[in-house]
Amino acid sequence: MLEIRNLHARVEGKEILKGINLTVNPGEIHAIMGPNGSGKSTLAGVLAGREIYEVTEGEVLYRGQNLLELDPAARACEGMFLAFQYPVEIPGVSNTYFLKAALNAVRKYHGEEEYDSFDFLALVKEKMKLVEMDPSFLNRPVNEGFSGGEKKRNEILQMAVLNPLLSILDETDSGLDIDALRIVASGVNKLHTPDNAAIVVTHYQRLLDYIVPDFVHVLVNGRIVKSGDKDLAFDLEAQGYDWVKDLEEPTAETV
Amino acid sequence: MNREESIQTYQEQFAAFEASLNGGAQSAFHAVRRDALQRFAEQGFPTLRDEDWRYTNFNPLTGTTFTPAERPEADAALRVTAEALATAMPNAPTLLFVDGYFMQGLSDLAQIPEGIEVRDLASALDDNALPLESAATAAATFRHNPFTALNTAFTRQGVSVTVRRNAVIEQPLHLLFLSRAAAGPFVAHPRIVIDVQENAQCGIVEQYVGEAGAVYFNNVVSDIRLGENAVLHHVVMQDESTAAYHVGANYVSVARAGNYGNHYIGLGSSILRNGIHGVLSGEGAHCTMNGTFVPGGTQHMDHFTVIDHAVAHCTSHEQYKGVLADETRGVFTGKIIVRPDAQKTDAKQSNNNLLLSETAQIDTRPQLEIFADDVKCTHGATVGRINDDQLFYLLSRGIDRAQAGNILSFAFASDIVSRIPIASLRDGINDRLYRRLEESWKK
Repeated sequence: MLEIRNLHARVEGKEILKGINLTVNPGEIHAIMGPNGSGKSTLAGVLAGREIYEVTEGEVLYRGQNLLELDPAARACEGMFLAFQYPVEIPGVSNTYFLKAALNAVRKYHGEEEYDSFDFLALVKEKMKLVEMDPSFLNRPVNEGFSGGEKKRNEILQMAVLNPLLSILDETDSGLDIDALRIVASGVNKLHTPDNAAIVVTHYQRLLDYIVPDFVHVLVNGRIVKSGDKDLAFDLEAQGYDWVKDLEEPTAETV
Repeated sequence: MNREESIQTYQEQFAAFEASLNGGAQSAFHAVRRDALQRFAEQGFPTLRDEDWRYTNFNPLTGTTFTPAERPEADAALRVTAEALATAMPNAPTLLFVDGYFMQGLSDLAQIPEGIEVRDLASALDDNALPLESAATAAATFRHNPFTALNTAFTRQGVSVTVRRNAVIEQPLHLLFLSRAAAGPFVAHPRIVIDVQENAQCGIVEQYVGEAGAVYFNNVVSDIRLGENAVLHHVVMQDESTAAYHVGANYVSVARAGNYGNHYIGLGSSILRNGIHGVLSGEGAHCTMNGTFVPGGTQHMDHFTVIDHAVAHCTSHEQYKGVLADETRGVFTGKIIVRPDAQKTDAKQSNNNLLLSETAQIDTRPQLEIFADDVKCTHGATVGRINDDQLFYLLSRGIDRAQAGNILSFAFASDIVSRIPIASLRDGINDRLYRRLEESWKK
């Protein structure tokens, strides 16, 4: 589904990603862990198409096409979804309006009929149950005045409505209490199928108690220095990132 | 045509106008007209050297000869044409004006609610049926504004609306002005006289539409008076032809505990200048001035507002929001005067602008003249661009750049529409605003 080869990227002239290799197949959940400043969010941003990141080397293939040539909207329409670390507030635009505009944009892209308000509302109310959100959130401006947990649940609601093939969750767990974490993780798990895949970017092992990854990669200083199964996350938790920080080269075959 | 020639043209037009009045030239108001013409002849159109007019170049107005249009035949098709161009104003009886003329036969005069009296201004002036104080107000206002002087010299077409004491009118009154291409280049000087008496309440919507490409000069003056405890929701939908010139001047006085709200939606015209001069003359009076303007192409929109706190315990809220695309220019001047006796004044003003291009320009100037010491006056102005984080958030959900930009700029501007107290009008105005902004983003 996704193949990243020797990806280098920089922001404001500073190189952050220094040769990332990663392959994600349908049905897989990959966790990317790493200390602050290791490049986790940069990787998520590059994949979603944020303009502030400049790709200097390497390539990214997504379902057989050159991902880096697609603009951010086209990436979303092609089934990519980024759950933001810091979801953006949009005053004056209601959550319903936003969700409906997004869903219809994706449907239009695929030549499908757009949802009318009635059908859309039925769909979104169904999806809201997944993240235990109250329907009153629909009429509120996007993320404005939402608590941290509400914002993250709103991200997963968008994911549920758009039904992506590849989801990238950028530190979706950060700042969440355990109840919110459980709700968010359960939403992600329910949306997981053999046909879609997820990349879960996190600083803490805790999230992985709820979303069990097939693969764990450790990102340090712009490179994946270690890959393994879910047990790698426990090792990191027990020993801290210092244990891997000194690793110069990948010690396991990247998957 | 130079400055002197343009003045001479209007003097010649006045001579013809006077001759056409017959008995009307003997009316009390006609002396005011003559004074006004004299005043206009002394001043001519404002130039960039006049402090209150320095951001708007009116040379294009003297570059074209505008003459009054012929009165159109009362053909029902005119109403159809006007409504096709206009934003629907549900449940609002319509008074139709075409090329500057009040078309009584095409207006919903029979549906005017009980408690409102609508009079054709021309006959009211000829019959000396307008209160003398209207003439006095007219004389006072044109001294400071050459356009008002010009309007006053030619004042005849228009309407007088009186809302009787204690009348609370649910249905807004809709004044629809259609300007046609075939009649141009024409000049019209419509005058709207609104008198909301003690304890009365109503809504009035002025809407200006023009056929595509129509060239004309609409020089409108409104005289508005609110009695004690009276409420007026005044909505202006300015959707003129983008080849037209629109100058508006609103003179408002609000008596004790009265509440005046002006809600301006600026979409059309090549050059717009809209002035609102509000005087809070009785304690406890309140005034709201909200507006949004969304010029595209090379449109120029100049808003000049004055709120005069003449006595104590009055409040005013003002917010103008501009969304400027392409090579447009916007101007906002917000003058707030607090007189020495106007203690406990509470005045809030803000002007926020969104620039959609590198070449759009806004001049914003708050002017506070405060002569009392126990008052609260706040003002603020912002100029910004579309927020990149918000834009990317929408893009990352599959919404393309044009639609995302439109969603964000519409959210910004429609904030003003959401504050129009007459809920039935909001959907239609929002639809029109959205489509207008869409044009800016499609390029």
